[in-house]
This record gives sequence, structure tokens and C-alpha cells, in this order.
Amino acid sequence: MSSTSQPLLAALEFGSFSMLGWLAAAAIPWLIHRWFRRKPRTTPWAAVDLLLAALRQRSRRIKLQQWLLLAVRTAILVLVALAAAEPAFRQWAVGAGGLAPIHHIALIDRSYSMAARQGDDTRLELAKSRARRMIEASRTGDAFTILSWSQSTTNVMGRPTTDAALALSAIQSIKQSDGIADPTTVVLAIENSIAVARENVPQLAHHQVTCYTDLGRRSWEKIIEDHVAWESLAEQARLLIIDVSDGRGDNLAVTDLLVNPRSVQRQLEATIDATLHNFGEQSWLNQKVALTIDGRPVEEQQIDLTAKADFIVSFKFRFVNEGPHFVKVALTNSGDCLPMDDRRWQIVDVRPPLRIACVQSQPQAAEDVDRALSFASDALVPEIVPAHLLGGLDFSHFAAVLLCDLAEFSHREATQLTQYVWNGGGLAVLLGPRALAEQYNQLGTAGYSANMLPVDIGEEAPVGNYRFDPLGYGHPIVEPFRGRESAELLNVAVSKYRMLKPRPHHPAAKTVLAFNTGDPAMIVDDFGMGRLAVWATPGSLATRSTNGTPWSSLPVSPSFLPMVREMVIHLVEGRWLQQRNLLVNAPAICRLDPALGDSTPIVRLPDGSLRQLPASGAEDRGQLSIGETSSAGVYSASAADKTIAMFAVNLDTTESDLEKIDPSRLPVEFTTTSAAPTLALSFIAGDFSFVRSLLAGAVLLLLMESVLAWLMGRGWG
Amino acid sequence: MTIVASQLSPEILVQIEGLELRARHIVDGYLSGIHRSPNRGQSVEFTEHREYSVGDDLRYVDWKVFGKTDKVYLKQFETETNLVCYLLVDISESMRYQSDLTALSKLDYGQCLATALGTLILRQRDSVSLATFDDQIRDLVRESSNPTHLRHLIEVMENSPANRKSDIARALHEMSQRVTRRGIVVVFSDLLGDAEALLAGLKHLRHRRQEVIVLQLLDPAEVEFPFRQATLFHGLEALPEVLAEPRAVRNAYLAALKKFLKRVHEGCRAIQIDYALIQTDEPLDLALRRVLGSRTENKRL
Repeated sequence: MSSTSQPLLAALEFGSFSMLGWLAAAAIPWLIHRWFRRKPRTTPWAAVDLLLAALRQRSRRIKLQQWLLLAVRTAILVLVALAAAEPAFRQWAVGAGGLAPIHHIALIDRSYSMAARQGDDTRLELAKSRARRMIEASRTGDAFTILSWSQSTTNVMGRPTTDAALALSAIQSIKQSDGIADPTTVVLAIENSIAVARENVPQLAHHQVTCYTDLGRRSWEKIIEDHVAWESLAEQARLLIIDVSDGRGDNLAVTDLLVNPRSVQRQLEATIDATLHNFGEQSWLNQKVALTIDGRPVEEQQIDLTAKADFIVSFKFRFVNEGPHFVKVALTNSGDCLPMDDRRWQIVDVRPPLRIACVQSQPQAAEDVDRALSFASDALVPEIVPAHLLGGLDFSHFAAVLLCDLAEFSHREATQLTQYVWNGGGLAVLLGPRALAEQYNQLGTAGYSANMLPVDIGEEAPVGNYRFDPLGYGHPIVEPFRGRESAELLNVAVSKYRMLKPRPHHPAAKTVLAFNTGDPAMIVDDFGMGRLAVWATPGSLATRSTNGTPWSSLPVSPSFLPMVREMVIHLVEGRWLQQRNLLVNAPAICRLDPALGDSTPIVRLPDGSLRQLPASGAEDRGQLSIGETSSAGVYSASAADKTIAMFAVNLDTTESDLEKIDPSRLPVEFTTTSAAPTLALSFIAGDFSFVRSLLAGAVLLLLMESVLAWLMGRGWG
Repeated sequence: MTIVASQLSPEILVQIEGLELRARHIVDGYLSGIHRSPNRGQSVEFTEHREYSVGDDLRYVDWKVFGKTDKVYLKQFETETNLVCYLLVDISESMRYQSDLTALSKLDYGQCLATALGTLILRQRDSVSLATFDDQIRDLVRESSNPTHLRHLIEVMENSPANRKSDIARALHEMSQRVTRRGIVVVFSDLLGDAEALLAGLKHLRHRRQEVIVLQLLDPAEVEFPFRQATLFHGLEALPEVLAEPRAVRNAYLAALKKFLKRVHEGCRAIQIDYALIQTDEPLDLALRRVLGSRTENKRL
């Protein structure tokens, strides 16, 4: 305890300051005492001398007992009132020097679960109110840093300030976010705040981080994973969590929205599947789910949502016009506590048939692929391009380019290919004996952060009898073969292949198919806004090994056609859809039609406001980038009165489950207290449980009071 | 002597009007509980005749009258007496105290008891004297054995105002000076005050060769201290008010009372004074019987 004369109350913070009003109840025993003193029974008495003698003998003891009883009764009420006010004891501040100024770091969770309503306010409003109260209760000389926390952690004021009004204003400026509470930046942001405070205000010896949050389980389970970081932080600052959640979890959400087929064609029926989830403990009946396309209501269904379960609502629709459309599915009458996640958007691009360039340097090298694509889908239009025409090819007209055992390419062609993929094009490299490894391996090395190909292309494998290993059919390209032995993917005979050695620093690279030797047979990766695939075998029967057998019997296998089709769709449509359908805070970037020239696009944001984009630099020419998408909804870019791109930005529904984390799982470094406006105090983690001590003290005093009163009634002593 | 169940609780007695009537009931109750009259004995002074009836002692037949009238008469003799009983009744203000636990104040109870005793004594044809006192002797009625004397005693008691402070020691000293003839002094008082001064006064009486009986009358509330809630005790006899929490002081009070009673009792025994503590909720005939029964047979009264 402090050796200074710092008042006890100055070392306390109160979660529910208004509950201190109950301290007035401490006057009740005094009033009762006074009332009894003034209202005694009266009686005449003869044996006054004896009574006086008894009183003389007992008076001091009686007074002592009465004062003791009065003090105990008063202390009970004081302790209960203090406990109800949820004090958080500045243990370290008192112990370490008492009146030293404190650096308060208010970390305010503004992730989208904080938009849940509790009574008339949202959790964020409650959190801000609590943070304001903390600042108002601080002492002169204390400094404040305000951190807002969602997808990223932002220092609202930059440097700590001792100006309470400024800090209050900063708190007021914090807006609700549509993102989730990302654990990756928070510890670093707090440490930076402490470092900045140490540098700028060195007299701030003590730091207290007060996190105002709803303790959502899904987020906090990730947050507490890094025990070491929190332990390290706890050595620098005291960590206090103010739990603003009332623990209610009656929330419904649209958690997923899928449009099938992925490549939607005009006048063909598309299926729109919306997945809804009831996160609460009670069922919700007669919920209306509405489908809207391009802002026009299309269909409405009425469903019952059982507790803790998914429900998939399917709609059928035929798109009439080509071009991008936005699909919206929403719960229209749920009345749950978190309306923000009751809707979801999806951009669907109804496009004309896609042109695919199949480049070959030798006759027949691309014919099998070309033929397979021709039969695979009406949406795909393959064209064989001789290698010598590659340099003059207008890549913008092709959704994907397939290099079928292309031997070599010029520097200009390599640059064109790299830019094409970087800006969103699809590229497949099918390797045979002619492909010069060093040329392929150099793709993307000039001006880009990494090689374009995710593998080093090596030598030919020795002649053998190899088979494919689909690796559990985990990748979407091979997933259709699961359980379909008739496709004979596993019976494809491979006698030779090019050795592929995966490169580091390609986190998105995935092996789709392997050989039974363990060597990769097909690897896909992202590069810039485009996608690419590398095959270890050529796509033609014409390529033969020295013993005359084809490198691969795949082109004559029933699995060849679906394999090529799925690969091309993956290269062109999947990436396109991924670029247009984003989660909150993902960057919205797409390739611009060169026909737009130098027109400056204007973006309509989900709230209806318009934003003019700055002119793009030379390196970004041909790209539309509207930066991070902070709000959920549809972003629509237009230029020259024409819609050029649309993006659907949805919530990451991680936080739609409003269940709180089990407080016992929080690290012991955290001291947690509830902000609920009831007496249901939760004093959860941490070895210093001040509220619990207060309540225990009150209970002990209650027992003592009963014993004292009983003893005094029996003339104790 | 056998004691029978009493019908004379203070609650019943208080319904009877007048001290004389009350005393007669007490005495009747008292006598009905005794098989053998304490008045049996020789009488030497003839008073009257009465007709013989079967079973009478033939020794008392007046043969002279039989010779003259041919009728059998028995001679009646007046009992010889030289006993004087001084009834000393405390009429100080403290005697007016009466709690809810009894129907009679200490003063009423003492007066009833004194009247009953006087009745008994007069029936024995002994002499009775009465003195009322508070801080001094207020009234002193000379002794007489005339049965009509009782009415005079009652009149004096009923007209004595009980509103002064008591000084029993002073009253006893004064009584010692004023009473010259030897007898039995019966003191009816709560004795509240200085125990040592009281004993000094009693010793003075004993010194004057008076036989003394002390009947200490206390209200049951004074003995049991049954109060529970905070109480303002108004001191009688101009004593101060005392505010007390009864539950807290009860034990100390009872200890002080016990100490006081023990001192009085032991002091009386040391100077051969009969002492009895009587609570005013005790039936009066039983109280009377308890007091008189405790006296040895060689003592009169």
C-alpha cells in the first residue's frame, strides 16, 4: 500500500459511477440510531440508584458496543455500494509512488459486433460513454491516448495529450466500423503508444490500457493466442478490460451468398443460394428473406430459423442483360440486435463468351486443348495462336492465354505476358520438352516483387510409368472428380514430365495435382490481379518420349475435358469474381477497359456519396483502384456516364456470433469488469479481485453484525 | 402448618374495595390454611359465661351458677396480653411504583399486608400501633387492642400522601426514640436507598430491645428487569432520569440488586432481624403465611 497520503478514492476507477449514490444508504444505520435515541419508551422507576450503578459499570462498554455495531452496519452498506460501483484499483499506481501521473490508453473496440443494440444504445456508444467517464474521473496531469480498434488499430490523436477535452473529442469522433477486431495490430499499436508517450512525455511512468469491448468469443479467441505478446505488454502497462456486452446473442445473419454457375450466361437460369444462420438460443419464425437484383425487388420467401442452425434459401433467376449486376439478399423483418449482418451482396458478371488464346510453337501442340475447350462450354471460345503471332496479340481481348509447350519468347513478349497476368489475365503454362526453363523462370523478375511463376522449371523426369495423385481432391479444379472413377483421372498414364520445384514467397501457390512420386503435376498461383497455372505435362498426345509413348495420355482421357474447363474457369472467372466480391477493408482493384482512355472514374460509395478517384500513376495505368473498402455494400465505379466496375463488399461474419468468450480463458494479465448496468458484477480474471474482496468483506461484516447484535441482546460482556 | 392454595392474588384483591375488607379476606385466607390456632393458651381474667355444649371441657364449668340456676355454663377468660406490634409503613414516593406485571403498587401491597397483620393481632387481643414514614415519621398512632382501633389505622394509612423522598434510616432512628414500650416492629418498605444507613437504623431499634421484622416489598419488574427496548427511566423521589438499553444493562442491574439484597439480608441476620423479600405479585395470604410461618413457635405473633 501507499506510504503517501493519497486518498483511497483517488486510486479507484468506477465502472458504474452512479452506483456510488448508494453510499447514501450508509446513513440509514445512523438515522435509525438517532431515531431510537429520540423515541425511547418511558417508565417511572424507583430503583434508580441500582440502575445508575449498573450503568456506571456498563456505560463505557455499552457505548463501545453500540459504536462498534453502528460502524459495522455502516461499513456493510459502504462496501456494497463500492462494489456496485465496480471499482478498478490502481494497484500499481498506489504501490509505485502514488500520485505519479498515469498514461491512460483507451482502446475502443469499434468492430461491427459493437453495433449490437443494448436498450437504446449500441455497444459502441456504451463503450464510448465508459471511456468518457474514465477520462472525467482522471486526475490532473494524467495523459490520454485514444486507440480505435477494428480491422486495424488507429491512434486517433497521434500523441498522448493531457487535455481531457481533446481526448473526449477524440472519443466522440470514433465511428462504427464494418470490420472485425483484428488481433494482429492491436498489441503493436499499444506498444507504439507507450513508446510515443515515453519519448514525448517522459514523466508518465505508469501506463494503463483500458479496453472497452464486448469480448466476442470468435475474435478474442484469436486475440489471446499470442500469450507472449500480452505478457510482454503486461510488464509495461496494466491491462483492464471493460466488458460492455450484456451477453445477449439473439442474432441472425446472412453468412454466405453464392451464384451458380460461376460463369453466368445471358438467358440461362442461375441459382442464388443464401445461407442464413441463427446464432441465438431461440428460434425465429416467419422471417422474410428478400432477393434484390440491381436494386429492384425480385422475390421474397418466408422461413423459420431454428436456434444455432444454418438455413439455405435458394432463388432462381435469369439475367437478361450482359454486364455486371449486383445481387442482394436481406432479412427484412428480423428485429434482432445486430441488423448490420442481415444482408449480403454479390456481383455477378453476365458476360459474352470468353476468348481463350492457345499458343503453340509446333503444330498439334495446342489442338487437343483447343478441341477440349470448344466442347467444354458455350461460354468459352478457344483460338489457336501460332507462336510467331504472340508479340502482336491484343491480350485485352482474351480472358486467358494457354502456352502449349511454347519453346521460347522474346523479351517484349515476356513483358506483355507478365503485365497481362498482373492486370488480371489468366495464364496457363503447359510444359513439354521444348520449353526453355531459363526463359520461363525469368518471367516477372524485372520490375515485380517476385517471379511470376511459383515454381522453378527443371529437367525432364526419367521415363517411367507415373500416375496422378489428386491430393484428396481438395482444390476446386479437381474437386469435380471426387467419387467419379469413370473419369479415369487416376488411370492416366504419364511417361515423362518436367520437374517443378516450388519457390518460396508464393503464399497463394497451391498444388492441385501431383504425381505418385510426390512431384507437382499442376500448381496454381495468383500474380497481381491475375491467376496462372503451371502444368508439368503438355496438353497434346503429339509430344512423345524417346520410346515413342506420349508424355501423357491425359488428352485422350475422359478427364481431360473437365480438367481443362475447370482450370480455365479458375483462371478467368474465379479471379474475376474474387476481385469483385470482397470482404470489408479489402482493396478494390480491377482492370480498366483501355477504351476509357484518360477518363477519371467516379465511385459511388454504399452510403450514396460520390468520390472522384485521383489520376492513376504510370505504373497503375489500366487499373481502377478505389483503395480499402471500409463499409459493407456496393461500390460502383463509373466513367463517361458508364458503369465500368462494381464491387460487392460484405462483412466477415466472424463476429455475428455474439457469444462472449469464457472469461476464465483470458490471460491472467487482464483485469476484467462488467459494464452492465446491474449489480451482476463479473470479476473474472486476474489475481487482484477488488470487487470480490469488497463483497466478501460485506458478507463477513453481515455475519459479524448478526453475532454482535445477538450478543448485545443477551447483555454481552 | 399446611399451606393451601391461595385465592388472593393481587389481581383479585384489587377488585375488593377498602383496606378493611381486603384485610379481612387476607386474614380469612391465612387462617383457613392453619389447622391449629396460634392463640391456644391459658387465660386468667374472667370475662363472661356461655352455655355448655357437648364436648366442652368440664374443668371450665361454673359450678356455682349450676348450683343456683341448675344450668350448665362455662366460664370464659380474657386472654392475657402484653404484646405491642408496631406497624411501620413506608409511604415514600418510590412505594407508588407499579409495573404492568402486578395489580398492586408496593404501597397498596404494604398497606394491605399491614392491615391484615393488624387484624390478626387485634383478634389476638394484642395491641397494634401504626407509624407511616418517608424521610421521617409522618403519623404515629398509639397502640391499642380495641378491635375498633383497626379502623383508625386504616384511616391513617389511606390518608397518607406518598409523594416525598424516603430516608428510612432517619425514620428508624426517630422510631427508636419515640417508641418506649418493647414490642415487635414490622417494617413494610422497599428499603431502596443506602443499605448501611438502613442497617444502622435497624440496629438502633434492636438496641432498644425491639423485636424487628423487615418485609422488603419489591415490584416484579424491579426484581426481573424485563424491559427490552430502549427506555427512559423517570426517577421517582426526585432522582434523575436515566436512558438505558435494558438488554445491555440487565445483567449488571440484576447483579447490583442481588448485591444490595444480600447485604440487607446478611445485615438483618447479623442483628437477629427476621427478613423477608416479597414481590408484589405474590398472593398476600401466602406472603403473610410465609412471613409468620417462618417465625419460631416461641415467638408470638
